[in-house]
Amino acid sequence: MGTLETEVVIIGGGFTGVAIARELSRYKVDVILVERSGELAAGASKATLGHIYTGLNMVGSMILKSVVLPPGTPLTVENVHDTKALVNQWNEEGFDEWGRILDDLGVEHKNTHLLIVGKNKEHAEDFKKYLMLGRMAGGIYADFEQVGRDRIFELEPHISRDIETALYAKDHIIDVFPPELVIAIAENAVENGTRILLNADVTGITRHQNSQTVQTTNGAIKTRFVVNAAGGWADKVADMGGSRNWGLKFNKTQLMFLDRRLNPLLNGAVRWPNKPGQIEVVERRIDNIMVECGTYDPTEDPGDTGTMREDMLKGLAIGRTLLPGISEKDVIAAFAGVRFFNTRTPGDHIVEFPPDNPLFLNVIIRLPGIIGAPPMARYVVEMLKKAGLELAPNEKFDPIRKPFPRIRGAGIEERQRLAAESPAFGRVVCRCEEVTEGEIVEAVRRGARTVDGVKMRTRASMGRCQGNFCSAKIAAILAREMKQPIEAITKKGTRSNYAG
Amino acid sequence: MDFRKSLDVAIIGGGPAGVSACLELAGTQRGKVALFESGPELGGIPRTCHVFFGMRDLGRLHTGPAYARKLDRLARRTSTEIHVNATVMQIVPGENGAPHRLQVGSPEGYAMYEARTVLLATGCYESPRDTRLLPGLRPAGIFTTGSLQELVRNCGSKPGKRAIILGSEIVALSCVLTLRHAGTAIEGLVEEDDEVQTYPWLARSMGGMLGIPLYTGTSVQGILGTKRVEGVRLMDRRTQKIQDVACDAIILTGRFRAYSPLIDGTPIGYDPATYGPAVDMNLMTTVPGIFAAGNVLRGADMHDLCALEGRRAARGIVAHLKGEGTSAGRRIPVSAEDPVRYVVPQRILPEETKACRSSLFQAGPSIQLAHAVKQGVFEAWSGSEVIWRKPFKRLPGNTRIPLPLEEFNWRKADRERGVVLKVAAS
Repeated sequence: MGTLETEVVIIGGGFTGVAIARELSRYKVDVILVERSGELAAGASKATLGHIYTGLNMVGSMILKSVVLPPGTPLTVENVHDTKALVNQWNEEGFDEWGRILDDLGVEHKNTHLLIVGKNKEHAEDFKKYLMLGRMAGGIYADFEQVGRDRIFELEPHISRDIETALYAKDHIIDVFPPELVIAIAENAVENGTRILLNADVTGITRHQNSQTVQTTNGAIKTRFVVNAAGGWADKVADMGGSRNWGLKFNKTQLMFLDRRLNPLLNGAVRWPNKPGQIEVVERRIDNIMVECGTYDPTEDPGDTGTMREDMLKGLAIGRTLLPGISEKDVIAAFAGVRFFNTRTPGDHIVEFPPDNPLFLNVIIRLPGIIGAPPMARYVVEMLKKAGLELAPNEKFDPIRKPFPRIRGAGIEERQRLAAESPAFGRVVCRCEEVTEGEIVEAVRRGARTVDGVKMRTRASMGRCQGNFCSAKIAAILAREMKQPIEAITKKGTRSNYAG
Repeated sequence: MDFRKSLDVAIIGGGPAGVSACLELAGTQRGKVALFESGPELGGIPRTCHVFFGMRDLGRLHTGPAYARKLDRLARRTSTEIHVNATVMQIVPGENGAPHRLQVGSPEGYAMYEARTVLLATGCYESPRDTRLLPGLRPAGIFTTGSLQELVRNCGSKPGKRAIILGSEIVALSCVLTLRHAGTAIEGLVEEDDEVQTYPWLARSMGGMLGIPLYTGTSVQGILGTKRVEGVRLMDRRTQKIQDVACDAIILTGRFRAYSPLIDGTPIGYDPATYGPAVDMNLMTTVPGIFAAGNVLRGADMHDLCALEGRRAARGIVAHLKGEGTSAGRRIPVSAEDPVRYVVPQRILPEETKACRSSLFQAGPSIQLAHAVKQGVFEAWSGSEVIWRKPFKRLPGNTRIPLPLEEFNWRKADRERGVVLKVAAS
């Protein structure tokens, strides 16, 4: 393997890394994004709720902070909301940009409501705080109302009849499938000139006079700048690039997707009031109902994505307090999401050059990482510019991603048009999610190299049978398209071979 | 839309039930019949299985592939339009006797059909990993018998070097044979229940004759391995002892569910116990003219009984087309109470129960138990009345048990309360 050369290496193919890559692709600058896994969105980006949200949820974050205020501290916005924090600035700024970005990228999304529901006196007390903080903060933070049972059950006829009152924010959430969005952003960056190197775990960084060499398990890259967007692994990467006075701490929650049959039971997101260390939300995603109910359990390892049976059952039991019609029989997929926070300023991001390396930028983004990603990416690019990266506009930059052909959701005329283009669009591979061979081949053309990569781009095997009928067929199509034996096809990159 | 084609019968699914319905229709009916199969050939699951097939429907034994080829050959001799690689994407049931509409996708394109009657014969699937709430990491190397057989028979590959089989229903035997054929060593067969979930003679042959370590009364505590399966963590439920068994593939078997995505969001009545459509004695769903047969009614049953059931549904369809068939009376809902997992049919008109008696050689009414019960009483309750009662010695779990509905004292059954089937151990 020869050494590649570039101007900027971005380490990490999650939301942060791809958003920076796309922003940089607006300029004439050579960029390589490296990802340790065989697919993008392999870490925290994959296992998130899939919410791009605004005000009311952020008031929820204020409530969480209010719980840990020293006794006697008055409950004011100033005491629970740092307007100077990057996370808050970017979240405020980012939300409104997403509608346009999602349209440009051709990513399926849906605006939906948030209901924070209550049934007892304790909740009523909580709601007073939400209303007070919301009104004090104003703007997007005040954009919700308290509603009574009639309105609640009109909005969500199937949620628990124990619910007495709710805070309601209309169109508060943009619902997306996070890995699909990460990949779409990356694809658009690639269309505009970014290079991506997968299966490239960074093993070392050598510093030279005015450049550095990034060693990876998939070859070395000589570059001027390095952007560390390695998410849960950013501490280890940071150590290769310079010194640091922060660490990472992790916690995980479990998420479950329910069978599509249950979709009519829920229209938006419904949760109990925010409590520290706990999340209790059921949410109608584009494709399925998702249940994220349980405690945030601390863990040492960002790769600790194992699930626990007791947590699944506990999560469903909590989920049933919101939506009684669900049971463990309805689970089709369960997984754990590991979130990370920096130990220096857990409530905010870190975006800075370490004192001993002016060419190495740490971008440590706490959750929520999606909402604020567009302003975050501009900020990072601005910092690189200040550090000496020359940025002439890329006149050829096109924000519109080539539309991905999809059978599901398409009308019969569109389906006929696609099948006339290629018979493969009439060959249904995944019957649960109505995905055709044509879409799988297109996913491979756009860079899918693994079974999971096909899944994230097409949703093939994401339905109720979870690949019982189609996973071997998908592996066989990948093998044919990649001109490799089926034994060489992996689920999610190096050493995760599908068969053999 | 002008590309709509008119049919008398649309059969969805080219496995034993669908093909057998097509054979039955060929002998009795002159209407226009089409069969849609999403795979490249007819025959269904037997195509990839190696146990014996065809005893109760074709009258002699075949290997799975030979049985499937025979079904294919027989079907193609009929006047039925056979569409392979053709997936029915959607059913829109017609209202008030209007024909039902089907959208079908195939390499030739997408077309709409109108059909006076429809037979759902889309089979079943094995519960995937998370539906079983199997904890642990998410490495590659986890299969179901279905995906294993697709990989081995149709892709010419194998799942790994050393596999562990989870579940001991009869399908596990098919899994064993497929793994042997592929050259994958079998490190063990794990069953959560205290005993193997199939006929005892088969259990003995799986354990003893084939020399596979059996872990009964054992639960899976976790799947090990981040990239590729490295093992399973097992716990003996009696001793609470935990041990890790190394393997590079895990095959999930059994725990079948009806595969019926086509009824989602339609008025076709659904039974949460089977995950499939609810039917009456004539195998008609709650929508007049839409029938169902085979494993879409209950998860996996023996292929030959599915075939016989397909034929029975075809007779129901013929009667329906003639304006006879299912009478209009209000039906009594029949349901199951744990450990009875389900009952099929779910909607009974007492006068129809004599039409199809249940036996081991007929695809009549049946139940399945979630686990074996050694001794007890089998009862049917309607409100506070017992309308049928039968003591038994050992009923197997996860296996078809014929249900003699004709023996029930239906006069005592209350339509409002329905009938509930219970098993009490003694």
